[in-house]
Amino acid sequence: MSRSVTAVLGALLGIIGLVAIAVPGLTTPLPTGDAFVLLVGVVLVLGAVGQIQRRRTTELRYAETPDAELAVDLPTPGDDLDRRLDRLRLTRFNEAQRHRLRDELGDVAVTTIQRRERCSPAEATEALEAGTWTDDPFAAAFFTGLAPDVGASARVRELLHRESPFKRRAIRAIEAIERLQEGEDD
Amino acid sequence: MTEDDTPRSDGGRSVDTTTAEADAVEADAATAAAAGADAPDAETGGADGVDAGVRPAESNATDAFARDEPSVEEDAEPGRRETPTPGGDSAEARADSEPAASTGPVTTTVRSATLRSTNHWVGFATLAFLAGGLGVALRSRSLLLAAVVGVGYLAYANVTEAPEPRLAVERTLSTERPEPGDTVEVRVVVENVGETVLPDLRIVEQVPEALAVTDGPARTATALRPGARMTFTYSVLARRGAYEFDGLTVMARNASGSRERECDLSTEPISITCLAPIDATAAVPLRGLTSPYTGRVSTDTSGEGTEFASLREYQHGDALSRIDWNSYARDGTLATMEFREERMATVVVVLDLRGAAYLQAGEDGLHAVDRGIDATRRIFNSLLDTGDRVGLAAFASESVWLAPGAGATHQARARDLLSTHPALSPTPPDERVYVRWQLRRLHQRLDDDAQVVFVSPVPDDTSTLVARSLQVRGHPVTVVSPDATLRDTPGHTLAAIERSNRLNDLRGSGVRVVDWAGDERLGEALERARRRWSG
Repeated sequence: MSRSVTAVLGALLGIIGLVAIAVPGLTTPLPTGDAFVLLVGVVLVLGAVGQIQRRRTTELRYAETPDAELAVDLPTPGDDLDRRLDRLRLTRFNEAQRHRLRDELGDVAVTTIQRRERCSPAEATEALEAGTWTDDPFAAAFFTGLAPDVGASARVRELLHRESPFKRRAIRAIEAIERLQEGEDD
Repeated sequence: MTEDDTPRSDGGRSVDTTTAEADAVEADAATAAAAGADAPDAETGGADGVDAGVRPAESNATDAFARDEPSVEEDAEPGRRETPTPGGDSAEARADSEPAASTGPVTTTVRSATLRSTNHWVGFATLAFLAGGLGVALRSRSLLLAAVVGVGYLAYANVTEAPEPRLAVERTLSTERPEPGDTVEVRVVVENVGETVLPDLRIVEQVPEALAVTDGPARTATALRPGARMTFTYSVLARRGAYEFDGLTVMARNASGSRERECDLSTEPISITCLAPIDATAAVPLRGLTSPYTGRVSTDTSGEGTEFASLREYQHGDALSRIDWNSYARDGTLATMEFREERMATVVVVLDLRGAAYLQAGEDGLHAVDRGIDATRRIFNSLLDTGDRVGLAAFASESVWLAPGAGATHQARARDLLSTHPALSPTPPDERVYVRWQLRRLHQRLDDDAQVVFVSPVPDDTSTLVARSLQVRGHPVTVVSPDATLRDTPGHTLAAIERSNRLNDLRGSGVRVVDWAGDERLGEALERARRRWSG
């Protein structure tokens, strides 16, 4: 509503202006002092600044056209875990997330150890906690929570690695589980 | 300017249309280049206070023209893109031709619409303010005049409203019953049947989600005068299933682009039905089992059959053909030969169509459910061929059940179900699948001696639970599992290990498992499994 009021007001002023060209006497009562004119000018320039601010804070809002051409995209099993492993770098100190990951990997590891060694779940869990299920000290350390049983140079190399030690060990644990499983298939 | 946002009732329409037309005239005056100059003539006639009584007649005429037009256009230039009809021609066509029987573009209905400001011109007033302010402060006439130009542009940007598109659409398909893998060309004719110019119109086709567009974008951008039409074509790759094209997303802006109306239009539906080929088979080895019908499954019961089982003492009434004459010649005793009875099996192929089963190894190729449905079809056909009674069921968002049967009609029914049942769509279901409830239902439906072939990628423990539950209830279960896992990243590897453990677990509880790798033919996987089971 206010828009149409301003529009009408603007149109009226415009008409008055045009008429004033023909009848100059119409605008003589208006003040024309230097100070007043300068004030009007400054107000207008401030208006310009206001417009710039408005532009800066307003987003363009065009309709998004949908992707009609793409067929549906489906996940590959394990996508979620990859995403979570990648996010570890951002949530380096998220202990709960790490616990969850360790538990999940631990479940798979226990099942695989059971399958491989044909033992009870308790024995498999024991082997996992003792770190005796694999030759890879880093993979074993992922579940034991202890320092891997390797020389200082290997530790330093792990620390200098691009990935965090946790992620690095998680990946090595997965590789170790895979080796264990492939051994079973033979 | 939000008044136009409200839905227009029929009574109010003529008034509103008049203002809209007035807008269009203004828009046209401002952007003659964009929209063409001869259209407003007809419209101003309309806007000059012709009342609602006359208007329907005019739109009838437009309709008649719409119905006629395709033949005219197709004769001239069949299948071409961008064939706007010049205004003069359309008037002639309207006058000359009789309404013909052929269907032309059909008026669409608006399912939903939103109106918004695009903020395209926000901040443009800076120029006017700045020029005006400096002009006043410095007492410079030229700067002050420059501000007037800015005001003019602002008026142009803000005075008009986004037009309300009234479109008629005709969609034609090169074929409505393609084979899987065929390319279907879709031709869309859009006509502006409203009375306003649409200076900036973007049209995006609502292609069924499962279909991939192989050629040409399924969208277009154009300007349409009243009565003008344009055509765009694109191609989709047909895949198994029934798909409906029934909508367009349309964005209409005013000439300055400051306002925009986004509409979801409902068009006359047209559908593709793509049935899977009928002849493919893949024999799944069945378990030894009993059912009262003769068939190909050997049993341990002696009786009628072809494979020798044992000899017994002759009893009065035994058929002469079954007497072992060799034994009679040897020692003069009459003995009757017994054969292994061969009986018909009852098999129900159960599909896993839960959301979790919709998995795909990598980006390309068929996903697990598509492969599973393909396998189901082959197994179904092969079992029918060997004289077994086969049924279909699924864990899906809708009930899927085809009671075990035999014969050509049954086969046709199954083919139809596997090709077009909505629950078997290539896109994951939106609704939850209640597995426990459906499992109970399945138990009730299965005959006591029915075997189950469970087709599932075994994505989680629920699928192993299903297989084991069926097995425990006395239905021998064979799991055919399309493998959708990869081993390229740690996460994928772990998922593959988990699946392998699950399959191993199933084998441990007596379920037969066919692990069907992604790069393998189903026949090979079944053969491998057969060797494993017999070895």
